Amino acid sequence: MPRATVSNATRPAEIVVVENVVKRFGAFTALNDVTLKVDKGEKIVLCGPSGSGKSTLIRCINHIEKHDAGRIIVDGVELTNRIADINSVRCEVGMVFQSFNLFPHLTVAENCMLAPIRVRGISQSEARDRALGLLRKVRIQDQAGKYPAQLSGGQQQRVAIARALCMQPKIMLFDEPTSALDPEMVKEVLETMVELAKEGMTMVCVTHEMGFAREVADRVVFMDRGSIIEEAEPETFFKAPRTERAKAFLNQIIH
Amino acid sequence: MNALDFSIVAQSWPYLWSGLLFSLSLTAAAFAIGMILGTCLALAQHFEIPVVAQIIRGYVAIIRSIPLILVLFWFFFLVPIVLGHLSGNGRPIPIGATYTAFITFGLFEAAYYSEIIRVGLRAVNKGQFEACQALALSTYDTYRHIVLPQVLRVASPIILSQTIILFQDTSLVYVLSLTDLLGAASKLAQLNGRLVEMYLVIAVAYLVISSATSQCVAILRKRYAVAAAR
Amino acid sequence: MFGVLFEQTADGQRYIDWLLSGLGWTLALAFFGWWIAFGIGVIVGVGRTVQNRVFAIPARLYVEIFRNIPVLVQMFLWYFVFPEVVPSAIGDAIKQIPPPWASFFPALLCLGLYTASRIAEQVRAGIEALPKGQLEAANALGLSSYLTYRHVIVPQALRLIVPSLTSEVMGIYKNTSVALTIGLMELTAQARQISEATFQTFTAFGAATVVYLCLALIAYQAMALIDRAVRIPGSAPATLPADQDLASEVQQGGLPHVMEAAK
Repeated sequence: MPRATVSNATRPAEIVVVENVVKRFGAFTALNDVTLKVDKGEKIVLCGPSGSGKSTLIRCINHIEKHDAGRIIVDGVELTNRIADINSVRCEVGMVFQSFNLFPHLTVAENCMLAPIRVRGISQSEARDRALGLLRKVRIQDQAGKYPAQLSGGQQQRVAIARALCMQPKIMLFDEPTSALDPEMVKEVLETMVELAKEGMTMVCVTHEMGFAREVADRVVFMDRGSIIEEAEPETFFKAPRTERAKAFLNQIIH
Repeated sequence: MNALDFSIVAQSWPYLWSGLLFSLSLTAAAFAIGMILGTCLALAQHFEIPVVAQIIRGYVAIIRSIPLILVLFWFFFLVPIVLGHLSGNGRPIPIGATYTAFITFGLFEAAYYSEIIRVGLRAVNKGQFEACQALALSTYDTYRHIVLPQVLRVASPIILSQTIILFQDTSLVYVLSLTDLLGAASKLAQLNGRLVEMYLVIAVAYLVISSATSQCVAILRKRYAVAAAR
Repeated sequence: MFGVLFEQTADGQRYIDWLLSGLGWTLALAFFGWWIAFGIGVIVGVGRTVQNRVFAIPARLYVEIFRNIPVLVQMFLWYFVFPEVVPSAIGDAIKQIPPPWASFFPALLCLGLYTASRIAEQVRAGIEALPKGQLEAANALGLSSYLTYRHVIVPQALRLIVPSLTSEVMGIYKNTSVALTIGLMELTAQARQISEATFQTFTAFGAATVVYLCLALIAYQAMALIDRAVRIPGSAPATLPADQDLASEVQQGGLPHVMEAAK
């Protein structure tokens, strides 16, 4: 299958290139000419008020939402409507959802093994070893035989992270991974994410956890009304936001 | 295989039309009887009237567990006997297949409609009853003006779907040799030997009527869902 | 009251043997018809939910046609019309099939295909009731549409609709009686035959009614058992959205109440 390689448009270090992307839902413009480049190993935190388009942006990166205009290039492959391209991109992009979206009818281990076996084509035993290894890493290996509904929210989200990692993705997307969690479970999930970041994983996280942003983010990207308003290193962004909208937003989430 | 000749259908149109009218009037009558009686049965169960409620439950369970054809046979056999007892002289009063069909379908559908309404009654928000009590409405007024209208509105799509099934089920009066749409077609087919044309035409007739009606139900449902969402 | 059932018939059997043979045909028709219906129903139900029109339109047509023509008319179409409209060699071969089977196969096809259209609608409702996140998660893992349906969507949708499938199981065994119109001597037909032979109508119909009630009870219990067996550990009993739930509850027989009354 010939891949639509567009490497000439990307510097070797750039693993995700979003160029002038527009996404509309009916009359509502969710993304308005958004451009964002992510280097390999970079950790980006996307923040902004609700409805600002940050979730839509990362959902476009693995084509769960189709963009209406502009280009998205992931790992050298441009996202078009070609299913082969989309699936090859999705294999390299892990995604963690706000509401976990574990498969309730499969055990924790089966959740982690399904895609590696069916999509990557690895053997059952290899998939199991890989799943158990990653479950150990997120400190949940003893729950491997249980079903998602038997776990707490924090445990489920850690399983979801392990499930995504089992595909050995080059980049991980997090869509408000801690927003649906009870406060006491937020920490365990954030710790897992911090560890992952320290191992050098490329990450794009939509989150309002500013502590996390401070600790791991290389860049904070602030969005409002479908556009990127401000991009800065965390220290700069939090201490001295340049725009009024970012200031207002920071005031709200700190209080 | 002979060439199909649908002109025969055109010639026998009036007879088929009268058969269709019979099917429709049977549907309408069974709907009316079934809804009125079904509402009563559902209310009797809802109020847990001693003994009566148990008998009704048994009746509904039996009717819904046995095939309609067997129910038709049962009523064809029982209705004259029961009428004989009611009239006092004890001898069965034959009333003919037509009346049997009307009675059977009415009583049969009552069991199904009562179940729809019973479930609907259970689904009414408790707050509605409390509000009625707070307004000092009588039990009669509460049900007549507040509860039943809500139940009927919520259950109307299911009631209508059930009525479309009822319309299709009326074809089973064939076993009583009645002349509904199917009966008419089958009698004509035996006379002129044009089975294929006859059955194809009435299949299309049933298809068009049921399908058009269910489209209307779907539209109603959508409109109602939108109205409810506002 | 049921004494007459053990009397000798003209052909040397007992009347109860007639009834049992009728029950045999009823069960055979319901059982094999069910598997045809379930297989086709799942495929068509999935077809109703896919974006691809090549699948969606035929699936829609299938459901519209088979659900909106009365079972009895469909029975006649398969029995009388089908052999006439296929090429005459096939038609003649069909007409050569000996008696009980000549009625049984059309009835099987009729009930299977009709019930399939009803199951398809249940499957569709089940699929549409699943949270959107399931599809998104499967997509995000790179699963193809086929794999998503096969491993994620269908297994969950089927679990969800077990309660409403109960009404379809009860529907198919009740509809087997329609096969008497094309000459299959199933349970209701045998009951009528006994009634005509003995004039013990009450006994004959009563016996058949009792048998049908037992079948309903068995069907209900079996489905409840299946529901428990496939329930996902740790999760609440699966439910459809309120109005489908209302519909499915309504469609199921009133048997639980019999049991309530018995308590």
